[in-house]
Amino acid sequence: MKVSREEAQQSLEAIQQVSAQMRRTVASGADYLILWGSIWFVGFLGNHFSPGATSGLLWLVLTLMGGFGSYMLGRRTGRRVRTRSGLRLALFWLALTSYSLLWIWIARPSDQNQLSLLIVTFAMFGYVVMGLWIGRTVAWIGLGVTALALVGYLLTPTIFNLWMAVLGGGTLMCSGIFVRRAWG
Amino acid sequence: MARLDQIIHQPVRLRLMAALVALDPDSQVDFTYLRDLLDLTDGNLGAHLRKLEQAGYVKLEKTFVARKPRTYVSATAKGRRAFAEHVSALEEIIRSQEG
Repeated sequence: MKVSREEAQQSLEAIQQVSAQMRRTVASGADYLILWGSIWFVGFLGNHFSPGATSGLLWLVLTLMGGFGSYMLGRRTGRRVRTRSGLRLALFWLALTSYSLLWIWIARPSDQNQLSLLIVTFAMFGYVVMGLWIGRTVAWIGLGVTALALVGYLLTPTIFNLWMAVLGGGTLMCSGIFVRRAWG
Repeated sequence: MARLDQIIHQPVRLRLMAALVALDPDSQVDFTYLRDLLDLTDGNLGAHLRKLEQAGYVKLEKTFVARKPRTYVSATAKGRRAFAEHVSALEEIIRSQEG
């Protein structure tokens, strides 16, 4: 088969274009990061400006919205592409959330900062494990946000929630935008 | 030296394989989504998939989702290897004719 340089170049360009389109299809991980980053941003701001029962209610509403949003994202991707690892990830997050709630109930954290730190580290542990399965970028995001949370908890306890809103939520949102662009 | 694959080289099948190979090996794409992504008709996509299936490059799985028939498509290990070799051959052509 004889193929000219121009034809070979066109074929490679076509491959790159379709590959990028397909990667965008399955890059819902970026959307999850943006969704949960936004939720953290609003939730932690709520903790900072209106601590107590109001922020508890806000978190409840935000978590339900996040759960519904995650379900819809999973459904959208699942209609186009189905994968065994997708189901495994969903079950992993369900197990992690259930155990996190159980451990929080057992540990009974004494103040809001401790409770926030526990939840953040549980979620970021999930990112690290997920990163080991699907790609190191996610694991690095998990480790980075964990480090930021620990620094904020230890060094700036009075503005910990503000710290987490901007640096925790912000990091997740920016990572999502970065991943979306990188995969585009 | 890598060899060009005549079955994969056809433009539609080349894009089809590129789409499938971009996914993880355990992933399957919905037929209708693939059709829309590549801007093809049902018949056209079906014909090219049959050709690739005969070569052992793709696997089709028919199933029911919410009582509706659905077809999922995935690249086989043989198809992934053939595609990788085809891409290497294309790259070699460009390199060999450079300068």
